[in-house]
Amino acid sequence: MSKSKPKILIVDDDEVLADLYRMRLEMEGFEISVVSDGEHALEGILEFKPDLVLLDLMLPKMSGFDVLKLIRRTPATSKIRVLVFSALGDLDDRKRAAIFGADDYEVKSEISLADMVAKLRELLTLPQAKETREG
Amino acid sequence: MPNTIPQNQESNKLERAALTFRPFLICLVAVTIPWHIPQTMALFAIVVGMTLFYCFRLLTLKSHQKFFESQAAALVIDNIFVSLLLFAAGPVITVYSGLFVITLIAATYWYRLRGMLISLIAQLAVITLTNTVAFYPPITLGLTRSMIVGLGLFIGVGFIVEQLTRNEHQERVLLSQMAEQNRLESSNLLALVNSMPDAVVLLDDDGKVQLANAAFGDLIQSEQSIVGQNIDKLLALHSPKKDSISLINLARSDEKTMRHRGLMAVSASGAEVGLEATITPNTLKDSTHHYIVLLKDVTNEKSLDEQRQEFISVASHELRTPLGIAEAALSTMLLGKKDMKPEAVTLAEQAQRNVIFLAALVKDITTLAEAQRDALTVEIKPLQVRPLVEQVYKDFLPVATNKGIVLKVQYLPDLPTVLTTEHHVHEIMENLVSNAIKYTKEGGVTITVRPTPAGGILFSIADSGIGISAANQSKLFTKFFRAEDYRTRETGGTGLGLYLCLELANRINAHIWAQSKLNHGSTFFLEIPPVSHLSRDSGQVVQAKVKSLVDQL
Repeated sequence: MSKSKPKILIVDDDEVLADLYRMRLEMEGFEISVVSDGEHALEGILEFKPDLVLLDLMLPKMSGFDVLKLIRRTPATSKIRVLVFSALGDLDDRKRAAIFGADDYEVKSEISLADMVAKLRELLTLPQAKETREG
Repeated sequence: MPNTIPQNQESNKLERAALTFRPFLICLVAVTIPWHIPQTMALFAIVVGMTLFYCFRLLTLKSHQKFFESQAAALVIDNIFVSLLLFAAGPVITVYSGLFVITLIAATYWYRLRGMLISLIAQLAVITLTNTVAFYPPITLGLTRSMIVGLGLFIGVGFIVEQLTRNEHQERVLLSQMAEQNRLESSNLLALVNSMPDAVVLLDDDGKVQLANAAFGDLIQSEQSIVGQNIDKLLALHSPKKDSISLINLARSDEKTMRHRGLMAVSASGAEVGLEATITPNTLKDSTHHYIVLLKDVTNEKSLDEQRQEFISVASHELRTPLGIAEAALSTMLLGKKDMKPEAVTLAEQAQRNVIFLAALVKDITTLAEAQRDALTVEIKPLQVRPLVEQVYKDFLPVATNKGIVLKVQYLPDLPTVLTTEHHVHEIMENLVSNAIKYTKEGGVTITVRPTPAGGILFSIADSGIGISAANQSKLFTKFFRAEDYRTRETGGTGLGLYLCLELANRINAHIWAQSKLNHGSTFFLEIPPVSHLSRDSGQVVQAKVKSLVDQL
């Protein structure tokens, strides 16, 4: 891991939650950017170049699934780690997210923020999974 | 249908009356023949021929019922014979006896005593009239003799017929009363069956409709006649997975009354209709079968069930975001607890604990609702035992290590491959292992995987924890049961975990039970059968099993 702060992009239309996460994660030493809809997600990724995307599924304009597909299909962003973080918790949703290439899946309210911070750190310390697998 | 019975009876009577009369008519003609004239032999030939014809007819009536189906046609043939006889006898027979025979023939059509009497009176009137006006030659002694014989015979016949018709009359009155009663009963029954909101069909062994009520007509929306049609052509059933189902095959497979759920059909308007069929097979006296099929439209009921699931799913989903926010806010606030008043810290921590508890409750309720909804759609696949257990181990190792207890896994050799739903097994294992760690303060938790004699797999999760008292063991798998008072609890738990486990185990017909001694740890067992059949039945059977096992401890 480089000396610079790990960057996380939060894609969530719930401003309260996004702000809380931004506050907490900044306190925990991450660099955070927030976008609030699906359409701006890819734009934000290309601009902000995050190490990890915290992606909600139910987003205005473009669903999280579509954003995920787009991230994986765009060469510049295809290696970015994506943690899906949604209020949807169905087995089907989890399966779909996994098929579209999500690195992990967490259900809002089923993970405490402290555990989430630990999870993010763990994901970020891992070598970029997709890269090592393919490279 | 029932009103055809008296009709049959009527034509039988007509037939019987005609057959009774005819021999007497022949006798009458024979008696009136003057024996000295040359035509006698020819007349005799006709009389013998007719007698033979009647014998033949009676015989063939018995064996070739169908050929002589038309009674009226048979009567016409009879009377043509009699007319032939009259025609041949014409030159020698008097006009009186000719008239007499013709009126008798006519009377046989009305065969009743009344008809007979009218013909008799008419006969006498004609004789008197013709004698009075002397239109015909006066009656000779010979003729008078034959007329007297004829009249005597006729009165005898009339008497017999009267007796016959009297019995028949009573019979007929009784029959018509019965028919009326039958009609009333059947119309009442029909009204009853037709007023049922559920479709009822009576099928024969070939799957042809014998009888159907109005609701069935509504269901299939057919303008054509239903009776005699093949049920599978009238009503194309299919499963939720679109496999077509033959109702008659379903019926044939049943020994006793069976209920078949999860049937679908497409209604005339193109909408999907959910049906539930109750089939009662019935063996008749002649050992043929028929089936009484009751079809219940469960489209709305199902959608109610689905609505409930939908509600739970949406409600729990809508609860998640605010719960997540509350937890995140409290958790972040507590980061700066050094700068907070101790009372505030305590309050915030209490709030956080309860938010986490609430979140766990929502999770369990959602899982239950999902399990109920997914009961028909989950897949049965070979279970990857080791990857599953490794995943559970990996997930809980940090928790166990944090608490300072040892988490171990051991596999016994020769584990078979079982067919079941991985998701459910995973969920149950997570719950059991999480519980085991939760209630263990020191020592360890051991997951053991072993084959069962039945060819299944037995998971056991043994802990060295606080154990469960005998009194509490029987309540273990019930909803919202917690061994401790939740207000004084040291461990977070919703009280739904084991109930959820039992529900899920039940769905894959796995057995789940516990052995425990207070302060000596507990062991929970999960036995997966070689092949799981998904069922939507309630957990009562398994619950009873759990209870009896616990009672034995």
